[in-house]
Amino acid sequence: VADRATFEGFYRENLTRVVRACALVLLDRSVAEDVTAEAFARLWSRWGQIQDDDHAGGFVFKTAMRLCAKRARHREVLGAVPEAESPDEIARALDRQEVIRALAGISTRQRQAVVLRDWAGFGTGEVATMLSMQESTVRVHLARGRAALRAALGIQEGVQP
Amino acid sequence: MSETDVRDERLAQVLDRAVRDVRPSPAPERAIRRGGARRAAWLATSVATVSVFVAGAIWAATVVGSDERQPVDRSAPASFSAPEAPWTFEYPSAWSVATTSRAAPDLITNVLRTAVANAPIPHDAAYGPNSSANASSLFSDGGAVVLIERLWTHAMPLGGEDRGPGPFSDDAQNPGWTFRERARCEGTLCFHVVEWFGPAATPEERAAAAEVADSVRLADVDRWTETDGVFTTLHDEDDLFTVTYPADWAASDVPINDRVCSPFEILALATYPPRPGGEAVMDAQLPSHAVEDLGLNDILIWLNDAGSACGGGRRSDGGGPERPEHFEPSEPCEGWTQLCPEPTGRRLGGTQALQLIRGWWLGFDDAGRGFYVFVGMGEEAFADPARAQLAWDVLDSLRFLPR
Repeated sequence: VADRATFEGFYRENLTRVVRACALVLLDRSVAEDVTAEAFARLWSRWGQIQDDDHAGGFVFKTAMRLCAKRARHREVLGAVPEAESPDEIARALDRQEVIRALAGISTRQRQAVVLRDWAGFGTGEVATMLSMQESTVRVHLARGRAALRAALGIQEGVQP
Repeated sequence: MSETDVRDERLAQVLDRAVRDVRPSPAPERAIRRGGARRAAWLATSVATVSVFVAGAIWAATVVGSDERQPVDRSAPASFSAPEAPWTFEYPSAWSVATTSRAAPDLITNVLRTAVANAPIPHDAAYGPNSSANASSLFSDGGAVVLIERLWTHAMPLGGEDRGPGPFSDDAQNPGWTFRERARCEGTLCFHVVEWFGPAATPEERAAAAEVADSVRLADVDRWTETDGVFTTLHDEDDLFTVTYPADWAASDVPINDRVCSPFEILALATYPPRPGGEAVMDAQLPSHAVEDLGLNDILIWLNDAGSACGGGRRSDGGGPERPEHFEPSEPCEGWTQLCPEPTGRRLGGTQALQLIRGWWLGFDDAGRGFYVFVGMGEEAFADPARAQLAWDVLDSLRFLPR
């Protein structure tokens, strides 16, 4: 019997993280929320077969990334920035706008690779599984995506051993 | 150690700042409309009109009392598949379809709904059985409406088991209107399908709506199709390709030859439903049942990834001829370094029926991956250049991503 309480706990703990990952890939918060809802619904449908939180996390991110790819084929980058109301918010909005523009300049696959590897912290092997790619292909997407983002944002390599 | 073996912390921080204030929040209801040119023109006119006045009032003025019922044409059903909706179904192509999302994940209760109707579907009115008393004003007394809904509480769709359709019940809010419900579940994931009819809905409209309800299925996340009624495009996120083919062709949902894992099947597509199974090996691992069913005017395309899916994971290898600019009747030659013309194909050995099939085995590389494809044609299809060309056009439509 699927354990509803355990699912709810996992959902509450991971909802924001999945929404943010989808927002970074899709550059559209509203669609990211829809995709996240659907990914968790699919997770719920398999909840009885889920072994632990890592398994659940891998499943929901993989499903979310597939749904993101599905959406990305049908629409384009919106990148709407909220109205700024204070100097701090203006700074944050400008910063965010710059990042969104940089992300919009790379492919969906590259965004997925960078978001999953660098932002979400999954290993390249896990990212490869989520995207149905070989690790070598993920590395190519990751290297190209990182290089383009660093160049667009004027940041140095931040890789730490 | 490769650079990609470690996380880029600086980039992670920058990305994190960009989404730090992104939190799930209730979203306003949004309507996503789909339909033909007539409905699009109607919608454009409505939107232009509504923009001048208050939306709700003008909407009512243009719709109330009208009867814009759209005909049932079962000869050309359309397939509904959309990224914003988690289900697929067949419906009369002249009918209207609209998906309304209230599915922000953190709402306590909400609903994601696709409506199908023989009349224009209002995008800014609440409606439904036992809901608002506006059914006839929105859809006319002849309304035939199918509602496909997922209900949520705490982000989880309400679970349960398959049930229904139940008996028709009277709509308490709309005199003369009736409805019946059914639940469809896959695992613990359920959705509800409601058929809802006005008092003047014809038996044909009711039957068409029932067929819509019967055809609702949960959409696949890994593989899905979209169609304009003439051509269908299939997207496969697992095997990383898309292909476009005539809408009346059929792609198998399951491998039709699951006995071989290296190479491994990624697409079985035909002018008829390709039947899975058969003998283990028949002429280079052909899918026996599908080949046996191939008629004189039929075409079968069976595509394999040249890598391996043995043991679970999928690996793709190259090594064949480069993909040609346009596919044509040909086969690998010169030690598998190129494709050479083979205009008449090969005749399959075996029974008399199989000898009436022309076949080609092509191998090619694309996106760093290798592929084998079998193209089979009945004699009549082969003798009709326009029909035969469909097979090569379908191959030309293939787009692959690196694995």
